[in-house]
Amino acid sequence: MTSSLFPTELLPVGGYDWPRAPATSSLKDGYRRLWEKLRVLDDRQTDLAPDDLERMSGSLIPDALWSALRAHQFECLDKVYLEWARRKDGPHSVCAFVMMPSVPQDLLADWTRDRGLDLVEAAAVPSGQTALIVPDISSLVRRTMDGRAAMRSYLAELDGASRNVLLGVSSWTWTYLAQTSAIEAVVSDARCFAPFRDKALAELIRAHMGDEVLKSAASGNDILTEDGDGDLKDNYLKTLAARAYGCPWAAIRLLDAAVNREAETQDRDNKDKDGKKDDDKDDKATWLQDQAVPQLPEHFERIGHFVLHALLIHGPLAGGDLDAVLPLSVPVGVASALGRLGLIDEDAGKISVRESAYPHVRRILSEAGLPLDRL
Amino acid sequence: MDAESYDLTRLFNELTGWTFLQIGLVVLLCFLLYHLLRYVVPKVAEHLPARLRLIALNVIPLARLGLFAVAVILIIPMVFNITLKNFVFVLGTVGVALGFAIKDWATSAVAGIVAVFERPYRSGDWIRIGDDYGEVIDIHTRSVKLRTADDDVVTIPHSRIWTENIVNANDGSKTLMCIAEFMVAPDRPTPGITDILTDVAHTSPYLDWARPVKVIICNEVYATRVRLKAYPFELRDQFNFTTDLTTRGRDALINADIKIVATPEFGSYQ
Repeated sequence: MTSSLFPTELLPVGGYDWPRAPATSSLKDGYRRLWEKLRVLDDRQTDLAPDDLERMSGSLIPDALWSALRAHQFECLDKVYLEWARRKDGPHSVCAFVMMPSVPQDLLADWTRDRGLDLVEAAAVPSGQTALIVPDISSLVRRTMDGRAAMRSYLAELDGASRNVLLGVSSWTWTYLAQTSAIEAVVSDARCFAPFRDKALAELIRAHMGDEVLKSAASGNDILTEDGDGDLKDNYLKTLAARAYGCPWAAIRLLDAAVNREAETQDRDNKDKDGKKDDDKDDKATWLQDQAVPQLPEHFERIGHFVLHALLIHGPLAGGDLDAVLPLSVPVGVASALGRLGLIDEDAGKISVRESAYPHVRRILSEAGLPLDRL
Repeated sequence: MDAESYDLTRLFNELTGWTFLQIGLVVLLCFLLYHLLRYVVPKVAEHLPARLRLIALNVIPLARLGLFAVAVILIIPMVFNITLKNFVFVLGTVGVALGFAIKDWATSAVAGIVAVFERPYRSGDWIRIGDDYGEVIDIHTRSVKLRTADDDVVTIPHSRIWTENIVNANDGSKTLMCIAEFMVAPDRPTPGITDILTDVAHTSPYLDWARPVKVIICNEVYATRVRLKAYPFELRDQFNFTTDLTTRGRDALINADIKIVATPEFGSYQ
């Protein structure tokens, strides 16, 4: 799938232009967030949305949208890496592809398999002619004394590799390694996806959810309506792009989570009076009301921040591994409590930050002043 | 001007009960507003993003100064008949009164005003004045209050800024340097000690990645002093961070067979 509005380049790390919400949206959001923290506001009721809306079950997002997004990002990867990855002669180099944790974990592995390239998930560089793809090195990084020694050995091995190597790495792991190791000396080129802004998101939604009338509960406006210059009239998608940090997967998941009320017919009576008769599809509107950022309970707020931070740097961790990378013991129940807040998932004994909750987690850590990822 | 022959009735406006009530109301309102701010701002600051917390806390001393100025501007015209002659007379009289009666208080109050603008310390800073080291928790008209690591509150008059050096560990920023010290045997090799201690800092969850980690080594009479310097991302974690660096640093040095010494080595003569 291609579109003139979709970003098609991979950006060098350091050149990422973080989408910004309009100043008024940021101020309103900051104000609301402060009152929520002070327990003055409990919910996000709006006067604009009709009263008789109901919570929606299931996802509004069609599978075709996810597939199209994945296909587009594969094309972006092809442009930069495919020819390089298939080249057999030198000179050889090590490249890094840096992804936000909200990008599906298996994206680079799927691209590798789909393009028939070599893939390895361990800290080793087996011999071969074409490029070797390591889909995610986060699991190889441990913020321990032994982990740092192992990473130094791995970087030395990469430095002497006799084939091209592409490292897939989370933006948090990359930032940690870039600040505390020699990875930037070993890696000759680090790139990331370009941000999806409001118009690209609108294009994506229009292409696959064109039947829906999506309205912002904050403004009451259709979020996809354009003005004469082709700009979106409502700021919803601009704000959404900023809240998702430019990651389209995060943005679409946030949008899906905002659809917590089902469309009801409206203005039908008025239209009938005017003699116009539209079908149900045109009469229905889906209202988007952003969910509040979860708040960590005070009694485990600090340790909760450290746990979330560690999970972003290391990827999924078992309980014992989590204790090893945090030189302070994690009280019993913290992981379950974070799970109940919808911030982390547990799978096969390992906990990880829930992909759909990543924008919330980043915001929580940012507010707490922890070191953040940089792109 | 001869003060004794000066007609004092021309100095004052007519003072009635209503005037005193107005003055009382102004003082009360400013007092209440100031204490409301002192109560609300720290509570709100706790919930603001970390980078805004110190900025919010510093609203309090500025507000105190502003409210004091407002009160003075409102009250003086109620009491005094303001002319140039009266102004010079009052200034001279008040100057003499301040000079003799409340000299120490006035010195501290003036130093407090200087401190608001020169900012040797701000709310939330970690400072050392003399032997006292702690977080600035309140800046009053006359004094500054510190909370030490042992949870003692120390009240220090602002006038100390005239005579003493003020050591400010963070100077308004949200981090400060922490130092973990180790004394190692001076007569044995210390292979890789810099890398070991740098790794210790780089594996601490309290570390501010964006700031440098340094290991400084110098010889002293009885031992080699090794100082690991790094920055935590949050001021309030400084003691946890130093503890983390010290305990894990000590263990890492022992594991690397680097001898840590005490000076003198107690028990070595038993």
